[in-house]
Amino acid sequence: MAVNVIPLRRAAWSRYWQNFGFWNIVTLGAFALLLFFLVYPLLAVFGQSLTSKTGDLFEGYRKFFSQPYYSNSLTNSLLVSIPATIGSLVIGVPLAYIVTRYTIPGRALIRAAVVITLLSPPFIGAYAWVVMLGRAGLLNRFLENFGIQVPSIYGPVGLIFVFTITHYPFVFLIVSSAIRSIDQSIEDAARNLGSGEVKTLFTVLLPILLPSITAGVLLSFMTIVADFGTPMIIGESFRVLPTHIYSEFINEMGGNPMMASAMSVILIAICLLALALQRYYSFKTSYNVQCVRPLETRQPHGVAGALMIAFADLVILVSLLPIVVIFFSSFSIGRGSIVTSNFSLENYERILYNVPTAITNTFFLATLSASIGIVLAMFIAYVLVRGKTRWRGVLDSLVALPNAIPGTVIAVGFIIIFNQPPFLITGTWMILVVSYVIRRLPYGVRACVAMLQQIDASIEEASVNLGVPPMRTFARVVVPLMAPAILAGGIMTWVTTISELSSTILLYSGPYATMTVKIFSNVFSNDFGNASALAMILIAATFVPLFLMYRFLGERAEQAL
Amino acid sequence: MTQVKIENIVKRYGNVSVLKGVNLVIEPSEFFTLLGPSGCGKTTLLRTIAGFLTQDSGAIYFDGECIDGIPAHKRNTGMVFQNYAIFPHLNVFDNIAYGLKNQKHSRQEIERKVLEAVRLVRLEGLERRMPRELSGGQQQRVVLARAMVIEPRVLLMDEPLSNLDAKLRVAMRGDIRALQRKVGITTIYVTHDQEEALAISDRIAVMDAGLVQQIGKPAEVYVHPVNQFVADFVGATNMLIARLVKYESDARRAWFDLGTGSQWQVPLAVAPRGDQCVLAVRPEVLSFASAASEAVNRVNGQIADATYGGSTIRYQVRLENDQTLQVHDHNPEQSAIRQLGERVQLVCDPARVLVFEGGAHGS
Repeated sequence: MAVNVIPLRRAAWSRYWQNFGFWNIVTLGAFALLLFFLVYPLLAVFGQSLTSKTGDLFEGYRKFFSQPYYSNSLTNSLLVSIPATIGSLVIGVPLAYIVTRYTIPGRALIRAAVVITLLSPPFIGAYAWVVMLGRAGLLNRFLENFGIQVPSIYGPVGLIFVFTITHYPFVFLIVSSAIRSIDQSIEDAARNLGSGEVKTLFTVLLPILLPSITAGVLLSFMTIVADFGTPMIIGESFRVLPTHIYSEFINEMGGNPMMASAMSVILIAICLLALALQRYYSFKTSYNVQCVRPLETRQPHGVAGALMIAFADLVILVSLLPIVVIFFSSFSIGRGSIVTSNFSLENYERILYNVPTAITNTFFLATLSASIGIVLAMFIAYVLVRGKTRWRGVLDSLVALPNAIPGTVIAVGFIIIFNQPPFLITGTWMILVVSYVIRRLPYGVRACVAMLQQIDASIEEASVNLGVPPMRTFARVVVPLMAPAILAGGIMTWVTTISELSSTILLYSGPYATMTVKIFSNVFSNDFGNASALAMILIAATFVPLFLMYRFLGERAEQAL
Repeated sequence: MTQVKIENIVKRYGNVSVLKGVNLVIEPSEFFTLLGPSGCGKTTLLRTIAGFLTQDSGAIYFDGECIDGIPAHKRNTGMVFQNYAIFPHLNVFDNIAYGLKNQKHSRQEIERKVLEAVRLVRLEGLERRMPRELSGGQQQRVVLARAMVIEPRVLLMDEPLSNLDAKLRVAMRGDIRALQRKVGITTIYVTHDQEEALAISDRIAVMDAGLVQQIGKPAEVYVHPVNQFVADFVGATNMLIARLVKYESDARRAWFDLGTGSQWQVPLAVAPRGDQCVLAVRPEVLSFASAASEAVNRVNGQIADATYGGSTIRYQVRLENDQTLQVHDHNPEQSAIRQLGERVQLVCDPARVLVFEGGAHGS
């Protein structure tokens, strides 16, 4: 087989083309995608926050900080987010340590419950607590029999409670995976040098875990401060930034888009600060050496052991209670928030008759978005792991960005830019798909990146060496090897998409209402039976794929979280 | 069969030059080894030939044709990777057939070629096994068959045996050599193991710091290393710092002072340029003087350590100036084993002493 002599000029061109190949186009594409659908909407929001009619460019911000009507929302946001974040720290860290290090009964079940809590939409938890502790709530009525007055779930205290109980899983998951990466020899060394069990925990283990704890806490803070559904349901007159942005934006009378945007920018600033800190601390954890022998698990014993078990069980009970309540409420007849003991399928019949499109919309949109999202994630992950471009760091930060951008804000940006030609997609199902793909991109990318890092690059080189061009090598070698991650990332994207509320509620239009939107409006019209039946379908749709994924992929499934 | 010519290859990573102008000609059907310590550039050179890296300057020719513009997947080289790079999702048959499926072959032809390759590497009966069901040695055979079945112009092997245990390594290298002879394919083999290089190669290029230090047949490189680096890297060597006493130009002989009270003579064609020299002596060249011995080069010492190795005893002999020499005594009689602390006299053949100019270089 003779190879022709290649003239110099063609050789140079060919080398150039080789360098500027398919993957550079992918890199450019990824940048274009993220810049257009993520950075541009945010810039548009910023731009709108400066559209003052008085000529004072920063009027919006001046107004925000001088008028309590606006600035209170910021104070309120911080007032609930900070205590709730501390709450998730106080619950998440000990629970992670207990579940990872002690052979307490039902460990696997506890982990599963935590993941379920993480992935079920927080606003469903919020409304379940309304069913329990709201006006004429189940627990209220029950406790009243004993003359006990429970503080109202509505308002800041209730918000702190619900945020804590729905957001501690962030801390739990990050910290428990960090605990599993500590080698037993580190603890042994400390013990050998004469420090006791408790002292070792505080002087060696916790300092090692500190960067992960910080990262988990910041992630938790970021999602709490951006959460829209929970304060909408139990905040009532207590307004926080996301709910205020929403009402300012949709209010047709007296609404002020400039103020909505200014508030969005302030919310983004808070979230970005948290994201930057979180990435900084995650990066710091990368000095961890490889763990050969994970920390040994111990048998809990004595009073301390009993307390640990009691603590873990209590947390899990409180976390799962909302799902139990929704389950029973979905099968009971009744108007309003009253749950009766009569079993019936009436609620399910009603929703199947009244809002079947909400269910089909949700599944259609989530399936389409997850499919598009995971394909994009696959390519972006490849560029991130194998790419040689200098811009890789920038791309990595851009991909992490959607985590920090509240859905409400992204939606505001989308409405601003897609409201006019040539991208007139506001009010169509396409705008929902685009927003889902962008917002959930980090899940797929993280799963694929984790997998790719474990695939040796020489496997691809072997394929190229055997005559298969790089692009076909990707399809024939990389994709099959990434299959578990593609599956896990896809499922994770899907599961988190079906429960999306904060951007959907601003972006949807009548025919494309999703289940979350319907649940939300049913809760507002006090139709808890319908809401529960829909929420139950949503929870089942979350639960089943996750269960299958854990069944087939085991611990690897968590890589996408 | 293909001739490979490497012309003045330079490769830099940022400010670091990994290859600083490498020139090689590898003859058709030759088994050619790139030998050197880690970081010497040998793997970089191999990957440049495969097309995974692009040199900053210089050119590579296959049979006189420049291949620089050809992308890796069209170079038709067969590469065997250090960590095997077996496709974990494909069974043995599909691993070997992978490259063929990309060429224009009929199904029957692919099957015939794969089965022939399977026979060649003696993996009959394992065609349907998945990689995880194979031992390290079997995986190694799979990737060897996979690289050879596409009938590449050149076979490139990057430390292919480094993940195998010592015994298997020796067996595999014999197999690789036999297979290469049978097929007659031009092979470039990278290793840091000098024993392996000596055992397997037609010719060796010893590399250090991005440059080829010496090219030659194994015996040439071992017996006539061109510099201290090669002498030290290929085989064990004693380096003795010595001062030139005189050079007898008519006898073409130099006299050196070892700093131990002994003087050695070494036949030398030209006088060394400076006074300071290093004498390199292989451990097996040194032997213990018997009373009747009349050898010219002698040195006194004391046994500091002895390692019994069956066919060989390795002694450490401490000289009067505290320098230590390794001495290999092959096939010793049991009665002739020396005791620790025993005073001995070493002798060596002047013709087997190598002289390098200048001070000691590295270790």
